[in-house]
Amino acid sequence: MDAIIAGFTVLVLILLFLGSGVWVFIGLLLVSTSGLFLVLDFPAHRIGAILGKILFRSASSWELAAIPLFIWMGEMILRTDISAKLFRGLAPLVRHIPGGLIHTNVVGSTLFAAVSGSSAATTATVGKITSVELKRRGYDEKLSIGSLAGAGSLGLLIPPSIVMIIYGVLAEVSISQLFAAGVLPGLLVAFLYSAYIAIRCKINPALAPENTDDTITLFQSFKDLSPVLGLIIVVLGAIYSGLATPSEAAAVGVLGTLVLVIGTGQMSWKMMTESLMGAVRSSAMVCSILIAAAFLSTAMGYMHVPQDVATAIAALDIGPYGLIMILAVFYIVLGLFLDGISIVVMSLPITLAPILAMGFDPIWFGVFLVLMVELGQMTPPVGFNLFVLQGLTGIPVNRVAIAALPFFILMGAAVAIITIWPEIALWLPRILFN
Amino acid sequence: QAAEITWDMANEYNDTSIHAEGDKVFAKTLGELTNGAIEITHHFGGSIGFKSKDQLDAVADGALPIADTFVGPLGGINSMFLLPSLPFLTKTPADSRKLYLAAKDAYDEVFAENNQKLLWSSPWPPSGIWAKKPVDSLEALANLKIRTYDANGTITFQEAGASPIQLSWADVVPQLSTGGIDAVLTSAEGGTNAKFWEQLSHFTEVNYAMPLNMIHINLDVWNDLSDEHKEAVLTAAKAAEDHVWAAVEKRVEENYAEMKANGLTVVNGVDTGYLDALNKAGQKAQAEWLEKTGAKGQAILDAYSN
Amino acid sequence: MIAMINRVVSAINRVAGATAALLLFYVLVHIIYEIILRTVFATSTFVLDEFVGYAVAAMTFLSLGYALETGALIRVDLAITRIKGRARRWVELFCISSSFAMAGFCAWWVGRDALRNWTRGSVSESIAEVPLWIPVGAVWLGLIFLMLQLFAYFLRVAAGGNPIDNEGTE
Ligand code: NA
Ligand code: NA
Repeated sequence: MDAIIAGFTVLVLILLFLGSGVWVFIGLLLVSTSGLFLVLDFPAHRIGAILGKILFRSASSWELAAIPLFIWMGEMILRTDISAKLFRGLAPLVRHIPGGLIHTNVVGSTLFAAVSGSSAATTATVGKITSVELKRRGYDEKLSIGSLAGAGSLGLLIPPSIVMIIYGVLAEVSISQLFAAGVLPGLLVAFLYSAYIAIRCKINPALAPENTDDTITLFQSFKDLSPVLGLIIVVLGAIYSGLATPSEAAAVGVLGTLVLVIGTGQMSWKMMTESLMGAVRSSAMVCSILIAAAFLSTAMGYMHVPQDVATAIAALDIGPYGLIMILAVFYIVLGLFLDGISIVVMSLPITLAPILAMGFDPIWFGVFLVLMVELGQMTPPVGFNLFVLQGLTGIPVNRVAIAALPFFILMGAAVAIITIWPEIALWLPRILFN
Repeated sequence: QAAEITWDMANEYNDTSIHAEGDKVFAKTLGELTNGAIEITHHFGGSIGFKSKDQLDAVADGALPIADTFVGPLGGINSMFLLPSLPFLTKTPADSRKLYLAAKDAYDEVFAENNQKLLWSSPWPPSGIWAKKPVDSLEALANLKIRTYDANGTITFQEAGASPIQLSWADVVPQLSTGGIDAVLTSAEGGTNAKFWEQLSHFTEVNYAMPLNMIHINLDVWNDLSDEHKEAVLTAAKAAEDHVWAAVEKRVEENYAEMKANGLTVVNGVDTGYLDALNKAGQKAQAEWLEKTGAKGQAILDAYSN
Repeated sequence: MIAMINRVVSAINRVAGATAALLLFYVLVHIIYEIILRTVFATSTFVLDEFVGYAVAAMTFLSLGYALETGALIRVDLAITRIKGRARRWVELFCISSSFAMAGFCAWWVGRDALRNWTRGSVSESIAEVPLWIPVGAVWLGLIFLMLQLFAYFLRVAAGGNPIDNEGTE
């Protein structure tokens, strides 16, 4: 089968180019270019013409804009006392749960997911704030990084969500209902993560140090949390009052942070330039990889890999659960190489019809698909949350991937749970829209 | 029999769109006529990575052998592509096809300049106004925050006293559900696909425009074909063209039925005085287009109105 | 000589990075301005997603050289950090030259698109009618800066200088 040869060639190329230590975004361009040349025998001028167009097209997309803005917001929060206060304020709330402040990764990502529509932005922003503080306080790095990789991807499941908007447009289902359907599964995943962290830390208390901020009162805790809560309320308020679109929400967040920073007297030329330049560096990394990944998706599209495999799956005569199982494997494999949006647009024209024919609800399948996309963010060799976390912490991507593995498995369990009990996804939209 | 020739065909729109329907008819007919020697792989929903505005160059360079392209965004490359989306110029599929035929030579010339060949055209259903009320008078239109899809729409609705807003398509539903905008200028089809009845209650048929997609093939690819294959491609293109132009009328009826079933009111037969006023507002865009295209543009409009 | 080339390239990177920072600030201002226009004045700039898209494209590519120099561009350093001495230098030179070739290939084809848009006078479809060679040209310029940075870095490593490692936690 051609698709298998093509997929295998791409895998070898990825191991060769990324493994030899070429910068990830250039490595992905090298993989795609040589893939088009080796697998399809395209002449150089055709590859170049494709490359030139796709680079500019994916770089100049409006959807990309939220990422640098959210990263800038994170840089400002990190460079002021807002992040330290966040931890001081959360400490009394999570004091009695084993794992203590590691839960800030899960809680923080869940809250931030309600503000941002992308998982790269969620991981980058929350990770920027928590990874340094948790390390300084002596929390287990593996558990901390793993939970960030897992919880960061909630950005797509908890509304607003870029991938859900794209799915809604392609599958012609209501985006509002999709958003509602993501809420409970998102909370389920967050709960599974927190429960896992608590159990791990209960068994091995050395993973989380004793909490020493015991003296703080609940009122002080609330005061410390108020800047971050205020920011979230402002951004959510802007979205749900119709002031700003979900894509514009990042700018509202930055503006709110600027007001906060100026209001608390922490604005300085140094803080402004450092946060901007830091945001420019991190966004160059994240956006360039997303752009290169778009070109890899185009190359895979020319190789017909997703189409061929999806067509083969659609032709299989298996029951509904069999189909879901096979699709889950298919999406996990796609998720190894491709970014979320590409996975959805390339496979959906083929997978949606058999899914609907089997009697699955298209809203439910949207949630399933988003979970699959989120799983892909956590798997090497091309996993955005892993890249973002390597960029933030300097920990090599393979170690980040190992740390993320338990959270990958937990999210897989969440997929199984919502497959057995689809009501978890479908209950809220039904209550709200009928 | 394995295919001798395989083409990747790009299309920015969904596989349920009318344009995708035409592409599929083309591929199927071509496969039958050539005994499977020419095989087409569709990439719907922009899944190969190109947007319509990239596809003229992509086909010119051979990055894509063939593409189905919404030509409105190409208006900045050649003004001829603005013609099908001029406001209130064509109101029915018959008008729209007549205008297309009047301009066919000019289109052929533009594509030839760009190393490609025009195969067929595929119409969009006429666009109207989706809103929470009937928008059947200038009073109802006054200060209405309406999302428009191109520069001509912006100019026209500004002239008519509305407040056009530009938004990316992905932001339209969130903005409707929160009241950030009041109305959307799009076809019955566009609003049906996005389930606008969840946020809106009325569709006012004003037949603002019927823009076109065009399907174009790289000239080197075309020249390399055998005569029989060329013949087959032209026959299949004709079949696809006939299919989509017949389908567009049916599509509008189907859309209306689905809209009504979902409790939406379709407002048609609106006051001609209102339509005339809108028409007048659209004249500015037409005048600008004539300025850009000169005698050639005038000749097309003359041929169309005769 | 090599040190001087590296200083010049470093200065270029800083200017390009600062330009990217200004573009990021511009994106913020344009979005906020659009929100105010829409909600208070019921109008629009009519070019928000177009202009912001151009700005993000220019920002990303203009800052690539700067990001690479400061170690912000990540790489899978599983293998390379374990190799030491001469072998490390050879691997690094391979990475740099293949990256230089790839960046050059991109620059050639993006540049060709910019040139085509320039010669035929293509403009965008919005009411602003932006000449398309400007945003495409900005991406091209960013690729050229990246090539300069890779060239300077090649000279430095070839002359026995230290490789750039991932920046990691600040
Ligand atoms: Na979200
Ligand atoms: Na992955």
